[in-house]
Amino acid sequence: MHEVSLVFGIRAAVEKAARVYGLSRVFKIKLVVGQDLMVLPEAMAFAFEHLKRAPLTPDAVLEIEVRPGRDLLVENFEGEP
Amino acid sequence: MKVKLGYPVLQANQAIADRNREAFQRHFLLVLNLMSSPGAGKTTFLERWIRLAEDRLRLGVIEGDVATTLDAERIAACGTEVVQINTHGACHLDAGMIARTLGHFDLARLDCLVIENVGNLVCPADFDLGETLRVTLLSTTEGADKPEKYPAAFRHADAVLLTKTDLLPYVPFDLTRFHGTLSRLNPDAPVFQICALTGEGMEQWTQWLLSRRER
Repeated sequence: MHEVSLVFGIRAAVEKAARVYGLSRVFKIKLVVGQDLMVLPEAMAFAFEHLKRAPLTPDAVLEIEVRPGRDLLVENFEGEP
Repeated sequence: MKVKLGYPVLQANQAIADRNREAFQRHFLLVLNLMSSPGAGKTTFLERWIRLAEDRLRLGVIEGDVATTLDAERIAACGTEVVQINTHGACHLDAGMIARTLGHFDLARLDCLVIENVGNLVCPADFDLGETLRVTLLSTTEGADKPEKYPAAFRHADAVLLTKTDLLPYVPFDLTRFHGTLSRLNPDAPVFQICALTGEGMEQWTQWLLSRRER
């Protein structure tokens, strides 16, 4: 259940970067989740659905790539001004 | 527009953990992060161990629980300095919570700070607190299959304590399987068989800990 606090962190990072790039609407976030972490992609997706708010659009999607290792990265995001 | 970010999500916690670790090292403080599922016997182990170790190490304890100060009261009854953190629902301690409690201790006057994490064999494993050693406990009543089922808590442990060993004659705990799994997952971590009620294994554990302190 720590996925909720992780999604808060992800949203804050994207919000900040979106402001820097002048994007007011974000519709996709690509996340990398290391296999060795105790992070459940399904729980991330669930938390993401419930914590969506501007600049994330209501239909924004979270794409998750599971990789070996212990990384947890927001690799990129897509949006528009 | 696509923005490449590469933002490490756990970095915020890691940065605080690194600062905690620096503070601990400045004071030559050995810091333990105790992890296990609820009821494995972390607090009972501590109560017994404090009595054995208090003339050799000046101890402080941070208790992490979702609610109540029950554990802190038990540790305070041993005469040990203790701070209780209530996470109000969160399933783990993070480095920021530890940083905020450090002001309650005079670190220069302590040799060893024990952090008893929230009882949970899953989430605490991902959060560095700045500890010197990660210690994972498993009790004999939980079953020998748990290191296979919850590998992260055991793979990154510096030591593993098997608790409630006085119950071994009465529960079907497969010691061979347990040790076999640990030697595959984490061959470097010593395993101590501990009984808080009889004191079994406490002296070996203490000797190992003291040897780590001298490094």
